[in-house]
Amino acid sequence: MSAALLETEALTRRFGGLTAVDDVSIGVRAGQIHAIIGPNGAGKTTLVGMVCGRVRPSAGRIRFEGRDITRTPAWRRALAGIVYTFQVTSIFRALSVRENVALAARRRLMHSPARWLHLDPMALEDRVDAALGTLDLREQEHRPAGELPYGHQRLLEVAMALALEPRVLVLDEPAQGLAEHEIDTFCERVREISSRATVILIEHNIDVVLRLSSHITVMDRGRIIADGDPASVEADPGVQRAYLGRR
Amino acid sequence: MSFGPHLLLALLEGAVTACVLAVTALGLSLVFGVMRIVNVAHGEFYMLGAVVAWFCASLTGGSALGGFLLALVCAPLVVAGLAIATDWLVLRRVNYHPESTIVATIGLLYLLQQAVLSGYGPDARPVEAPIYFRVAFPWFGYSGYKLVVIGASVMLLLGTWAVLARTRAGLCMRATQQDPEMALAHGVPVRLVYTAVFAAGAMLAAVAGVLIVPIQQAHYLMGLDPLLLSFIVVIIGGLGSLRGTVVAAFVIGMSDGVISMFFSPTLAKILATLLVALVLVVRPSGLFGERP
Amino acid sequence: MKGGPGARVLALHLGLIAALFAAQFVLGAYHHTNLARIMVLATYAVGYNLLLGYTGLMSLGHAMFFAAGMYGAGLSIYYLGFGAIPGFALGVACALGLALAFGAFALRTSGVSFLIVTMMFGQAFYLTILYFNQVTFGDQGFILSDRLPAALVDPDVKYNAALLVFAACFLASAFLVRSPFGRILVAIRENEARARLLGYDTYTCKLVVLTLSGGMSGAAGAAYALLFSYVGASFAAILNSIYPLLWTLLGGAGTTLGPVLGTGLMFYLVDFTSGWTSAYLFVVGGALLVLVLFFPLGVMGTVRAKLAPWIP
Repeated sequence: MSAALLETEALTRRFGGLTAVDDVSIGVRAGQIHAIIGPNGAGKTTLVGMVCGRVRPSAGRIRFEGRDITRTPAWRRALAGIVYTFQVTSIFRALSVRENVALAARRRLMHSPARWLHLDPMALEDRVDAALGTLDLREQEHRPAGELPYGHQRLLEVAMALALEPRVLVLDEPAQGLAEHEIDTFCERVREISSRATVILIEHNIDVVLRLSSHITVMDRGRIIADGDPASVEADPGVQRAYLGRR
Repeated sequence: MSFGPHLLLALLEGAVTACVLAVTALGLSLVFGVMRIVNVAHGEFYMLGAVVAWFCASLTGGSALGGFLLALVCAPLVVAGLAIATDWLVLRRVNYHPESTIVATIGLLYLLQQAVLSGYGPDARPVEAPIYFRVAFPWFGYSGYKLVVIGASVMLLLGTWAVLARTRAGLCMRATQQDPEMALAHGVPVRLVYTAVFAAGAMLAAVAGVLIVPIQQAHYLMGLDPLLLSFIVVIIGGLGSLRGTVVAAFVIGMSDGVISMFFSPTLAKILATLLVALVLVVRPSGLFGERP
Repeated sequence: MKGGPGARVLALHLGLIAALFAAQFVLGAYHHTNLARIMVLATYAVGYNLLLGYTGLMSLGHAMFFAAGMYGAGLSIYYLGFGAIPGFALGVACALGLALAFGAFALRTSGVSFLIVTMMFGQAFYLTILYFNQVTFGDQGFILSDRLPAALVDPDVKYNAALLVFAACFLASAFLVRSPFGRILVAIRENEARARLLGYDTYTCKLVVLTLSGGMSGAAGAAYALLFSYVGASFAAILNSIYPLLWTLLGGAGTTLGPVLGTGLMFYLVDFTSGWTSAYLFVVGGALLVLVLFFPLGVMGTVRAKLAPWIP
C-alpha cells in the first residue's frame, strides 16, 4: 500500500460531554475518491472539519504529505491545497456568482505583495471562466450568488473550490438539493475532478457513493465501523446492520 | 491614618463600587445574553435612575426616606417604560441586528443626555441619604448608607439569580437564550421575552442609579463611567456569562476602589482597560465565556 | 483600470479633487475656511470607512488614532521644536503604530466584542491624555500658532494643504478598494469564515486595514493640529469617535464618495442648527436613529442601489 497523502491518527473531538469523533485514524491515498458515510450524527462533518482546520481536535494528529498539520491554521491548509466545500452552503451571498469564484481564483495568483495591489486581469478571467464552465454556471455568472436555487449554490461551492486548485477536495454532501437528472452530470464532474485532485466525499446518497468511490470509510457514533474498498464494505454485516440496511 | 486602616477604607469603598457595578453590568450582560445585542445607552438608564431619584427627593420635600422609597418605585418604572418604547419603536424595526442596535442606542444616548440637560440642567445635584448613621471603626467613621447599598445590591443580584433559575419567566429567558426559534416553537413568547429582558436590564441600571445618587450626586453626564466599567466587566467576565459578570465586577470594583484611593480614579480606569487587553491576549472569549 | 467602468470611476474621483481645487477660487472666506476643515475631517471619515464600509468592522474608538496623530504632531512641535512636516510625519507614524499595536490584540475578538473593546480603549486613551495633563494640558489643550511657520496662517496655504492630505488618502482608499486586496476586505465583510477557507489570512488582512485606517485618521488629526493650530483632549473623547461613524453612515458606508459627502452634509447641518439651538447633540443623536431606521444605505449607497451600480 502506498503512503497516504492525508492521514489522521487517533483523531478525537469532544463537545462538552459528547464525543463527536472518537479515536479515528484514516488514510486517504492520492488520486482516490474516498467516501465517508454514516448516519446523521456519525461525526463525518466534524472529522473533515478537523482535517481542514475549522474544528480544533481534542486529541490526535493530522498529517498531510507526511507533515504534521494538526496546529496549522485553516487558511494555511487551504493554501496548501486542502479545500473544503460546506455542507450548509457558505457563499458570499451579496456578491455575484463570478466574484465568488474570482475570490477563490485570486488566491492562487496573489504570491507577492505587489500582486495584492494589482493582478493581471486576463490570467484571472481565464481561471474563473474555466471553473464556472466546469460546473455549467456561466449563464448565471452575473446574478447575486444568494439568488441562485439551492442546488446551484452547491455547485457554486464546488466551482469556488476548483478555482483554488485543490490537492485534496473535501465535498460535504455536494449532491444534496440537486434534481435527479442533475445528479448524473454531477457524478461525471466529480470523476473529472478526481483526475486532478484527491477527493474526500461525504454523501448520503448511497448510489452516488457506490458509483464514484474507490475507498469507503463507514462511521457510526463517532467511530469507524468499516473501512475498505466498496465491495468489501458493502458486504460487511456490521455495515448492513448499522447503515445500509436502513436504506 | 496608617496603611492598614487606609487599606480597609479603600476596600470598603471598592466593595460599594463593585456592588453597584455588578448590578449595572448584570443588566447589560442579561440583555446581551438573551438578545445578543449591546445597549450603549445603558449608562443613560443609570443616569436617569439618579435624576428621577433627585426629582422624587425634591417632591417629597423633607423626608429623605420617603423620597428614596418613592424613587425605588418610580425610577425603574420610568426607565422600563422608556426601554419598552425603545424596544418597540427602534429595536424591533431593525430586527435586533447587532450593529444597527449599537448605532441606534448611541443615538438614544445623545438624545437622552440632551433631553436631561435641557430639562434638568447642567448642575450636579446632591440627594440626601435616606438613613443616616455612622459605623464607628477604631480609626474612622464610615457611612452606614454605603453598607445599605452593599446589602441592597447583593439582594438584587440574588433576586435576579432566583428569577432566572427558579421561575417560569426565567425559564422562558433561558430557553430564548439557547435557541430563539426552538423556544418559539415550544410556545415561548420570544418577542415578549425580548421586551421584558430589555426592560429588566434597564431597570437594574436605574436601581443602581438610585442607590448611588446619595453618594455621588446626579448629573447628566454621569452615565459614561458606569457604561465603560460595565463594558470592561462584561468583556473580562465573558460576554453573556452572568457568573463571569459578577466575578469580574468584584475584581474590577475592588481594584478600582483601592487604586482610586491610593493613586487616582483616572489611573484606575486606565489600568482596568489594560487588564482587558491582557485577558484578551490569553482568552479572547473572556474568563467565563464560551470557548469557540 | 482601463475603459468601461474603470475610466468612469477614475474620472469621478479625479473630478471631485479638481472640483475641490477649483472651489477655492469661487468661495467666500467663510465657506473657504469651512471647506478646508471639511476636507481634513473627510480624510478621517475616509480612513474610518475603509474599516466600517469595506471590511465590516465597526469601531467606536477611532478618536484615539485621530488624537495620536494630533498629539504626535502637536507635542513634537511644541516641546521638541519639530517643523511642520516632520511633526506631521511623526503624528502619522504614532497613529500607525498605535493602530498596529491595538489591532494586534483587539482583532482577537470579533463582532460586538470588538466594538466594545474599541470604545473602551478609545476612552482609556482619552483618560491617559487627561492623566498626563502636565504634559498635554488636558482638556484645555494648547495652541501651536507661534511655533509654526507663518505661511501656515495663510488661508490659501491651509486650503491646499488640506486638499493635498485629503486627495492622497481619498485616492489611496479608492485604489485600495478596487485592488485584489480590497476585494478580500469585502469578502471578509460578507463572510469571514469563508474567506479564511479560501486561503486568506483574514486576521492579517484586518490588521493591515485597521493600521491603514488608523494611519489615515492620524493624518487627519495631525493635519488638524497644524492647520487649525489647536491640540486638545476633546478630540480624543467618545464623541469624536462617533462623528466618523455618523458621517460614513450618512454618506453611505462602503462607497468611496459617501464619507466625503456625509462629512460635508453633517458639518453644515450642525453649523446650521447650532444657529438656533445649543444642543446640536440632539441633531447627532436624532440623525443616528433616523439613519438606522429609515436610511440604512446612506446617500451614496442609495444612489448606487437605485441609479448607478458602477460606483465603487
